[in-house]
Amino acid sequence: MIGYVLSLARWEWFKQRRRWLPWVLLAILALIPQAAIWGSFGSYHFQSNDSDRQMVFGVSGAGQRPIEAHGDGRVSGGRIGQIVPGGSVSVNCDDILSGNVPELPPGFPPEVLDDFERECRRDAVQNDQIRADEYDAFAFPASLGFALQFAVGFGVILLIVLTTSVVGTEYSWGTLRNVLARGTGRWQFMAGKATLLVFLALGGLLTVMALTAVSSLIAVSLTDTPVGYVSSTTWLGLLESLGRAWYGLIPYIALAGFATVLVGSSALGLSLSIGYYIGEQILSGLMSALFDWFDTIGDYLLGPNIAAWVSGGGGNTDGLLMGMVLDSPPGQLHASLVMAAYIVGLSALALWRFSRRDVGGASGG
Amino acid sequence: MDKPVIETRGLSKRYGDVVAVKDLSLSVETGGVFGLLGPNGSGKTTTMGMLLGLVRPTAGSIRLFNEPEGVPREALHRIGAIVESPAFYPHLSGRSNLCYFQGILGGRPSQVDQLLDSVGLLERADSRFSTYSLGMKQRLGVAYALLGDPELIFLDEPTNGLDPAGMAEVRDLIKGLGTEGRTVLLSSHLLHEVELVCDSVAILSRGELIAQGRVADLVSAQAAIRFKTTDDDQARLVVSALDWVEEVREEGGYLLASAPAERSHELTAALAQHDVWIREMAPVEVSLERYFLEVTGSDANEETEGGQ
Ligand SMILES: Nc1ncnc2c1ncn2[C@@H]1O[C@H](COP(=O)(O)OP(=O)(O)O)[C@@H](O)[C@H]1O
Ligand SMILES: [Mg+2]
Repeated sequence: MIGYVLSLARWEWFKQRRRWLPWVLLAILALIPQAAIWGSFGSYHFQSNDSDRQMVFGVSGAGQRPIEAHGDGRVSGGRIGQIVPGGSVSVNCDDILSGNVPELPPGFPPEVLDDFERECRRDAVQNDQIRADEYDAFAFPASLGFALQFAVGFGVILLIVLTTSVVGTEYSWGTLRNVLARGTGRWQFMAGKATLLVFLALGGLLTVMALTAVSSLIAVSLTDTPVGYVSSTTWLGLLESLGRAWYGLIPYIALAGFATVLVGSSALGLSLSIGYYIGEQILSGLMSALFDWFDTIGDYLLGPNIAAWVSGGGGNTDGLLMGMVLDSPPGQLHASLVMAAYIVGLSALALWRFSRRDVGGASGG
Repeated sequence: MDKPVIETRGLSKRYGDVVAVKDLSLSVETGGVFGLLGPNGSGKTTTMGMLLGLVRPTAGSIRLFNEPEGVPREALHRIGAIVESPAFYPHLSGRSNLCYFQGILGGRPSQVDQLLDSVGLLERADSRFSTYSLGMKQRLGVAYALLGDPELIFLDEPTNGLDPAGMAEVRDLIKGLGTEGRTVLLSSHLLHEVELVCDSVAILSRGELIAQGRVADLVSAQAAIRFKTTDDDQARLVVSALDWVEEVREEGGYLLASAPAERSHELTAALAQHDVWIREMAPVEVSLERYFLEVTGSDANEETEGGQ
């Protein structure tokens, strides 16, 4: 039985690989994360890492308090205008840290300078961290993990398009009759399609990883590694990210497949799936803002659970699933179980519906 | 003849208010070409759909290959069918389409090229299906129906949209299929196609079976002898009394006796016994057409019209 479904999946690939659609979708899936990689590279490589902290030591009118003027224009301790001309000295962190200590105006307490130096050192550490994070976003191998998360976010839409087309064209071309009239098992035929789609999703993610790896290696070779950089990802962690991304995509195969079988047309199935995908987010945002009790329902919707699952509980769901907002993301076990329930439920409904339905003529949908 | 290869009892399909097929009891013997004749919308495609398990009957039963009732997948493996229009994957070539279907049927030895050759498509086998003319599509449909060498073949209006030469070609092809123990179920809204190709026929009108039998029998039931005598009134009495003549009527100054032409000499003899003499006599070639028109009330001879 499994052998039969796998054989049907293989023959499904025979058909699909000769179409444009899967390849166009794959190109979109693989190329968009590269834009993100090179964006991170650009901001790392071309922007200065100097601290913008600057201090102007001067004397304010009456109290002789020090005035601190920051690079971003903020001034504390007084107003710039109050500085006595000629009696002020401007210092920045670069000077201080490289031991370039200026001579202070008379009457100035020297510990002010020590305070400033401490702040500069703290800045430097923070700055290194920011730099390291920026670097991490495009450096191999951590970049692969980010690219995967990113790819899942819009890959969902691409996968819905592919699924509705793979299922719906059989109706619109009228080929379903030919397939079933020769005694091809109904649910086996659909299961074969689903199997192929699950593997195509994996193939898409692997392509993203491969292309990202190439981009990363090039990007890394073009710039310097920040001091003390340690990759945020291990190879094992990467494997986990892949697994999470893959599993996170599967419910949408089931959703789109079910919608298409329900209405028997690619276009309608696509509208229905995308409608559900977007509607769920708008509705959940709106409802949970209005009613407290809706938070509980939100825990059982597809979007929040997949967002929580794919981000691995890290809570970083930026750009994921169209900005699904997670105040309190569902737990990992909870999320994986809810996803499994959707996969099983929607697949069962789709297969049941499909095996009962009359197969008529070409619908041209 | 052995047991019927297709047998339906009380088969019905209703779509909401529309009754597509009504209480159809059909019996198709093994071997030869069986015609399913009826105007557009008479339920031919729906009937085939039910026989192929594509459409669920609302009522009634189906028995294929004299097996237990129902349409199991095993039975469908023994049937080749092209229903409605020839629908294939537009982006695949004719050859790839057949390879695909052969593949999902379960790897029989390759006969794809041989099939393409037999329907005259070998030369264009590598062109995409979407570039085929309607005639080529129909022929690919026939090749598909023959895939796996099935015992029973369903062809749903396979000459639809073909030019006269293409029609003749496909009809010859179909006639050949009905030999060698195979059974072909051919649906058509063209009466004269059925007369040309089929051995037996079932006539459908608005989803109902209105006649079923051998084409030759149905035709002979309609045969007549037209004649003129020295005394038509007397002749009328004499001929009506013959038990093998169904009826005698007058038409355009001639008498018309419903009887097969082979018995015209007996008719002559009977009249001669009563001193009535024949002046003119001719067999009337009656096709199914008149009958068909009468019972279905539709024009069955429009070759250009596309069926549904
Ligand atoms: N899927 C369907 N839904 C509703 N009515 C249908 C459907 N399929 C067929 N019919 C109706 O059933 C009748 C028989 O159709 P069909 O079997 O296609 O006839 P034929 O093949 O003889 O032209 C027609 O009146 C048609 O409109
Ligand atoms: Mg029809």
